[in-house]
Amino acid sequence: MRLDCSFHAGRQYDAEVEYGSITTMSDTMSRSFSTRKLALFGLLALLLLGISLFIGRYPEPFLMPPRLLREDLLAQRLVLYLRAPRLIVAFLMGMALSSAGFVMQMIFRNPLVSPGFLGVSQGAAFGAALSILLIGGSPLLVQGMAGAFAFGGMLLSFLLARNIRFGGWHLRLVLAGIAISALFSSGVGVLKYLADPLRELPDIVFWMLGGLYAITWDEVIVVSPIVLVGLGVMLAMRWRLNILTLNDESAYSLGAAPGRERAIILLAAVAATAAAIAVSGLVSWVGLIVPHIARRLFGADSQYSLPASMIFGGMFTVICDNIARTLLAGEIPLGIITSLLGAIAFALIFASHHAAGKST
Amino acid sequence: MHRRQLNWIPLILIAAVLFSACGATQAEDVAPAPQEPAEEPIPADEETSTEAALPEEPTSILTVDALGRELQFDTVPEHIVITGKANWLIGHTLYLFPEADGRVLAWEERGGNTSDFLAAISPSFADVITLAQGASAEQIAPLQPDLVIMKSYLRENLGSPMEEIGLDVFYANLETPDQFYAEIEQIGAMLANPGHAAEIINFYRERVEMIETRVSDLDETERPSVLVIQRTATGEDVAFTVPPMTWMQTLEVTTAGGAPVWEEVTGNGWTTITFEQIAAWDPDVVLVIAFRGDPDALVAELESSPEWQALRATQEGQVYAFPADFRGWDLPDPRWILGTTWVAQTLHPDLFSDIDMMNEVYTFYTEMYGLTEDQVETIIVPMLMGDIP
Amino acid sequence: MSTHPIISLRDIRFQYNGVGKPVLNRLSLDIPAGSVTAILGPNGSGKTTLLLIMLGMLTPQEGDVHFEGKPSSGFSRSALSRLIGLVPQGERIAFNFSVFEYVMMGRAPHLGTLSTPTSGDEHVVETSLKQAGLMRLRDRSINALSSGERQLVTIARSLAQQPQALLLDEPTTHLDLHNRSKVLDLLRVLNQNGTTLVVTTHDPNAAVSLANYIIMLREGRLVAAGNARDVLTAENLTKTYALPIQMTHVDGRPVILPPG
Repeated sequence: MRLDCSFHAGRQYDAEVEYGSITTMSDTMSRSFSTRKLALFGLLALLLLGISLFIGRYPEPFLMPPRLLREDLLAQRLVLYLRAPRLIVAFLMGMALSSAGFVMQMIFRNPLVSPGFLGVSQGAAFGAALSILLIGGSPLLVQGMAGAFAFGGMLLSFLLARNIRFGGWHLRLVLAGIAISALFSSGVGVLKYLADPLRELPDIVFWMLGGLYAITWDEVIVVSPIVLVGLGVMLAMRWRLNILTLNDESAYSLGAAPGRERAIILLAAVAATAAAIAVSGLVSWVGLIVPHIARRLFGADSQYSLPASMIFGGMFTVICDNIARTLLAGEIPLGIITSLLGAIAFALIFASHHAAGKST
Repeated sequence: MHRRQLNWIPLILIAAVLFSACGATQAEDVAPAPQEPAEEPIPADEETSTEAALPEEPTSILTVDALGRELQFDTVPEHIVITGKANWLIGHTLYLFPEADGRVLAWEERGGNTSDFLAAISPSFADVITLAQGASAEQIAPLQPDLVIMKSYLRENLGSPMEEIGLDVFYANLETPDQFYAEIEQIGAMLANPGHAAEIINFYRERVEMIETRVSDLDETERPSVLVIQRTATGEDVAFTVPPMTWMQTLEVTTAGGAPVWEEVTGNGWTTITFEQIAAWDPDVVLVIAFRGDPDALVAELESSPEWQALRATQEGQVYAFPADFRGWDLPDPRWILGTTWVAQTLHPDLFSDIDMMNEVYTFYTEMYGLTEDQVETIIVPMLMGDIP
Repeated sequence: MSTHPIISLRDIRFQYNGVGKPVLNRLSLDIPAGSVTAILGPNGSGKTTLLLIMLGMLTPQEGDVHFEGKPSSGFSRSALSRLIGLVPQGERIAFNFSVFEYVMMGRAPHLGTLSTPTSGDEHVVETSLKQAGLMRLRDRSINALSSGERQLVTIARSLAQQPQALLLDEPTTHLDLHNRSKVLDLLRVLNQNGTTLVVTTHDPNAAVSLANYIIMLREGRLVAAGNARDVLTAENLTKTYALPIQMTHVDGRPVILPPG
C-alpha cells in the first residue's frame, strides 16, 4: 500500500525512541493480561491483610503464632477489636489517598501533586478539628466539615496558582498548594493551642502526623460508606479519566463535558480523602508516590493504573501502619513512616528516571 | 465578685484562624493596681499554727530559684504575678504558705478555669487581676509587679524579655519531690517564713519515709507490675498515653513499691500506646488517669469493653481510677503526697491497712492549706473522684 | 450521504466573553457533505474560532448553527461527537500514553461515560492504526514520537472516532515536507471513504492540493466561499491576505506565490 511504503523512510526516528520502554512493555500485553496482573496484586493485598492480622506487639513484638488465636481469649479480642478494624481503615485510607493523588495528577496534568500538596489533606484536618471544637464530634458533621474544607483547600490552591505570575504551571500549582496547606496546618495549630483548654481535640501530633491507634469498628462504620462511594465513582470513570487529561477542545470533541466530569471525579476523590483524614489525621506521600509506581507497572492508561494505584496505596499504608504499631512499644505517628518510605521511594523513582521530558 | 479584665480572648475564632494569628492579645485598658501599704512582718492568719520558729522581720530577703539564680528583695514581694503554662501548679504550691493570700496581683487565665481551686479556698482571690492567655512582658509590666513566677522552661520565650526590662522573675520546676523540697525552702525564704517551709517539707518527708520504709523490704516478686495510663482525646478504649520515667506519675509508683511496666517506652512527654501493648505487658495493676475528666466513668467504660474484659488485671479487679479533686493526685501539684499515699495503699493494702485515705485528705487540706474541716467537707469532698476507699 | 450541508452557519456573530470586537461578524457559510473544505485566511482572521463553533464547543452570540439540516440544540454531546471530530493543533499530552491507548481515546463517543473499551473497540483501533500506517508504532510512547508521527497519531485517533466530518486545525503546519505529504495522503484516503474534511490552514498551497471547496476569511468576515476552481483566484487571495499574491500553474495544478 502506498501509505505504508512511505513510512520506511521514517526509520531514522526509531533510534531516538528508547525511552519509555517500560510503558511499551506493559502495552504489548493484551487487556486480559493487565486484568490478570491486577488480580494478582489484589490477591497479594489480601495476603498482606491476612498476615498483618498476626503482626503486632502481643504477646511478643512482631509475629503472633496463629494457634494463639484459638486458645487465647485476649488474642482473639485483640485481633477482632483492634487489629481487624485498624487494618481495614488503613487499607481504605491508602486506597483513598492514592487514588485521589492519581486523579489529581491526571486532571491537573501535574505529576507532582497529591492531596497532601494541594491543601486537601490539611483542609480536611482543619475542618475536622473545627467541627469537633464548635459543633461536637458527631461523625457525620466531622466528615462533612472535613470534606468541605478539603474541597475548599483544593479550590484555593487552584485559584492561587492561576494568579501567580511566574513559573510554569507545574511549579505554580505545587507552590500554591504548599501555601494553602501551610495556611490550614497553622489553622489546626491555632485551634489546638488557643481554643482547646479541656483537650477535646486530639494532640497536634495526631493531626499533623496522623495515627490509626484510635481506630475501632465505630470508625470503620463511619469511614467506609463515603470512602467506598468515592472509590466507586473513580473506578466507574477510570477509563474516562484518560480523556479528561486532554485539552478541553479534544475532550469536548470526544464527547466529554470536561469541566463537569473533572469536577465529579475530584469531588469523589476529595470526599474519600477527607473522610479518611478525619479519623486518621494527616498522612502524606501516599498520594504522591503510589500513582507513579502504578503507572510504571501498568502504563499511563488509567483503566488499569487507577485500580492498581488503589491496591498499591492500600498495601503501602498497611505496611507503614504495621511498622508504626509494631516497631516500638509506643506508637510511631503513621505520617512519619509514610513520609520516610515515601520520600525514599520518591528519590529512587525520580532519580532513576532517564527521560528529560515528561515523567510517567 | 468581679475581676478586672484587661483583655479578652478573641470572640471570633475564625478570624484568628484566617489570619493564622498567634494567641497574643493586646491589653485593652490597664488600670494600675492600687499600691498597698508596706508589708508588715508575717501575718499569721492560718488556722493551724504550729510550734515552728517565729518569723522575724527580715532585713533583706535572699532566695534562689530553680535555675540557680539569686534574687534579692528588701521586703516580701507584695505584688506577685503567676503566669505561663502550668501556672496553676505554681499557684497551688505558693498557697501552701498563708503569706501568699493577698499577695498575688495577677494570674494568667489559660482557659479551662485554672484558678478554680484558689478561688474556692481564698475569698481574696476574687480581687486578683486576670490576664488573658498568652500574656507577656507587655501586658505584665504595666502592672508593676514585684515578682513574676513561671516555670523554668519558659525562660527563653517568656521570662527573658521580662528580665530585660528589669522585672524580677522566679523560675520554678516543682516536678519531682526533690525539686519540691528545694523550691519550697526557697519560697519560704522569699515569703520570709522559713519555718513554715520546714513544716511543709516535714509533712511530706514524714509520709514519704513512712511509705518507703514499709515497702523497702519487698523483693521484686512482691512489687506488682503497674501501668499508669491516661486516655487520649479520641482513643476511647484502645489507645492511651503513658508518662515518661522521670515524671511524677512514675515516681509515685516507684516510691509506693510498684514496678512500672512501661519502662521501654522512651519519650519526653505523654507517649501513645495501644491496648495491644498493654496486653503484651500484662500488668498486675492498672491505674487510670482522666485529665480534668471523670476517672470512675472512664474505668467503668473500660471494664465494659470486650478487649479489656479479657485482660488479666481487669479480671482480677485491679483496674483503678486514679483519684482527683480539683486536680489529679498524679500531678506534681502539692497533692502528689495524697497520690503517693493512695498508690501505696492500692498496691499494698496489707502493708497500709492503717491508712484511712479520707482522713489523709482532711489532714492534708487542714494542715497544708489551712482549711477548716467544714471547708474540706464542703469544698474538697464534693470534688473527690476515683477509687478512694 | 445527506443532501444537507453537513455544517451550516447563518449570520454568526461571536465575541469572546461576549465583549469586545467580534471575532466573527455576520458570517454565513455551508460545508458541503463529503467535501474537503479549506478555510484560508491570515492569522487572526478567526479560523480557529470558526472551527470551535463548528465543533459545537463555542456558542455564537447571534446566528444559527445547523448540522445535517438540524439545529445544533437538537444534538446531545455524544451524538455530536459521533458526527464531528477534531484534530487539534499541537496537543500537549501530559502522560506517556502509548499510541494504542491514545488512539483508543477516539472511541469515547461510542462508549458511555462509565464504560470501558471492549474488544470491538480494540479492533477499530487496530484498523485505524493500519489505515494510518502506524502499526509499527503501536506500543510506542506518544511523547517519544516526532511531530509528524504525532500528527498522524492524532488523525488516527479521529479515525477510531469514526465521525462523519473531521475538523483539522492547521494539520500540516510545522511539518516537514515529508510528513506533510504523508498527512495529506491520509486525509485524501479519509475523504475518499466518505468523511467530510474541514481544514484550516494559512498555507494556501496545502489548501490547493487537498480541497475542493474553499472558504476565505479576513478579520472575521467572508471574502469568498465556493468550489476551489471558482474561488481560488489571485484577486480573492490578495483580498484575503491584503498582500499582492500571484498564482501560477505547474503540471496543471495551481501554485500560489506569496510576495517574495
